[in-house]
Amino acid sequence: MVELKNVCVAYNKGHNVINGINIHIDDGDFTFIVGASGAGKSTLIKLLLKEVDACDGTVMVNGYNLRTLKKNRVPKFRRTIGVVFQDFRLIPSMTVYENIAFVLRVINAPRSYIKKRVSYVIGLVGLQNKMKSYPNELSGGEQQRVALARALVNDPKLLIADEPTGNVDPELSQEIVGLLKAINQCGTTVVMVTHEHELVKHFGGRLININQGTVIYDDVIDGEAESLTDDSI
Amino acid sequence: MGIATFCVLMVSLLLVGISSLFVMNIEILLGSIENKNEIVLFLKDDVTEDKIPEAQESISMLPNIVYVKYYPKETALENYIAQMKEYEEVFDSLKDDNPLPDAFNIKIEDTSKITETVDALSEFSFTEKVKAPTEFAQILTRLRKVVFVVSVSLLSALILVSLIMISNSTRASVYARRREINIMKYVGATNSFIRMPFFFEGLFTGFVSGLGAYAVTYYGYNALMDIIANNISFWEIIGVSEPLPFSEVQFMMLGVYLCIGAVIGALGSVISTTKHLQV
Repeated sequence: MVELKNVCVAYNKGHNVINGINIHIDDGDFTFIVGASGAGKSTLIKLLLKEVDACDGTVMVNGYNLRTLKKNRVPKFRRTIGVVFQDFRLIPSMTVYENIAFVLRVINAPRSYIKKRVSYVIGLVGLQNKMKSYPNELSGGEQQRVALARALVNDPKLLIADEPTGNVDPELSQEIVGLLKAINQCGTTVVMVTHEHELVKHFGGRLININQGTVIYDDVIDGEAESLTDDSI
Repeated sequence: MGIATFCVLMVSLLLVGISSLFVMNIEILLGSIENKNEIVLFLKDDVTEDKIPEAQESISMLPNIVYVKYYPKETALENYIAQMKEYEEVFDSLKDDNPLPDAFNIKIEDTSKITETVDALSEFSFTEKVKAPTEFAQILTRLRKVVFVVSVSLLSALILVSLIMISNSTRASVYARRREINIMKYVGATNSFIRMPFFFEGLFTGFVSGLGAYAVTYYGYNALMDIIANNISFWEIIGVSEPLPFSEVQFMMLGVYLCIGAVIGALGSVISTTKHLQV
């Protein structure tokens, strides 16, 4: 669950990037976050990952109060979250299998569990026969699926996807969002930041539009909905 | 962390090692000069030969005394004759009525306490006069202090410079792995987990650099000593003892090189990773 109440974030004193935002996301929700460049989307993601701190308000993510969370507890908190980035952020010197397994090694998971779990998530994203390939041997879509598998491997409660379709073609974009929807169906809360309006229109779901650090629209829209107006996106 | 780091660390360690050996040799030189200066205590004329052992014992009981040697007036005169053969006849005439006093040659342990020792010696009833190189001892003491301060400052500065250089050269290798570090942070790795491989890599590089620096010092120093031994002995010319043989300090040097190398290597790596852990 994500609960933001009157949250402000400022990089420089006196200039709020996030300005008194209120967002409530329940467990199991699928939420699109849209907004123009500089609207505060990336800062919002950083806030949810405790990469930046709020200067005011309440930030609750997966039961952790991020405003009072001590530095040494941040790693444990982050293990409850999966993140997918636009630029994939795969390690070039590691194979697909190693890129995913390394997340579990970081949390000292047993070897047998790592093997079982990694094979499972690789199957989930359909890359069984690319296990030994290196990132540079994969297409953009395949790389993003590896990043998705990596985000899922430690069974996170919340999956944050920051422009996951930004570096892939439109057809693959639909495939990736389809995968995220399927993951959401299994009970994982998904927050996806995007600027691709067509995708939002196609899949539907909860949509939050941010502008100048404040929420200007927050409602559920139907897939391929005609009710979608210029006010929402 | 690669060959560049290894080389930088090895050169830094070599500078530390060479400076240490230089300081150790300066200490030996000063010690040797110090050894050549003895206190001479002249005895009163009324001190008979049977009182000599008692007087010698009293002096030996004083603190800061290494040895006390009796130097009878007959020996003193013979030495004068040996040194100035052209006046042999003049000295010969003095043999029956030797005007020189009996004396003790006294070696002290700590020249910085020479004044206190001289004062104590002067208080004995059998003492006629005490002759001591007080000023020279004071100069030596001051020189020792200067050498100590300079060597400690030099070594501290060299270690600090090494740390900065290592930190900079490992930064490149850490920078190359910043993506890996960044991802580790996002998936919940602790800082110590991320630092661990860099720490061990630094430790290993430092250790190997220490071995390299030791090998260079070992062969370099021994080669230099061979040159000195096989040519005109500089040490003999200045009249002091020989330089420090490497065999006397080899284990200490090896230990110091390995320890400093490993500590600087590991610490430098840890410092370089800190910047990339702020995610």
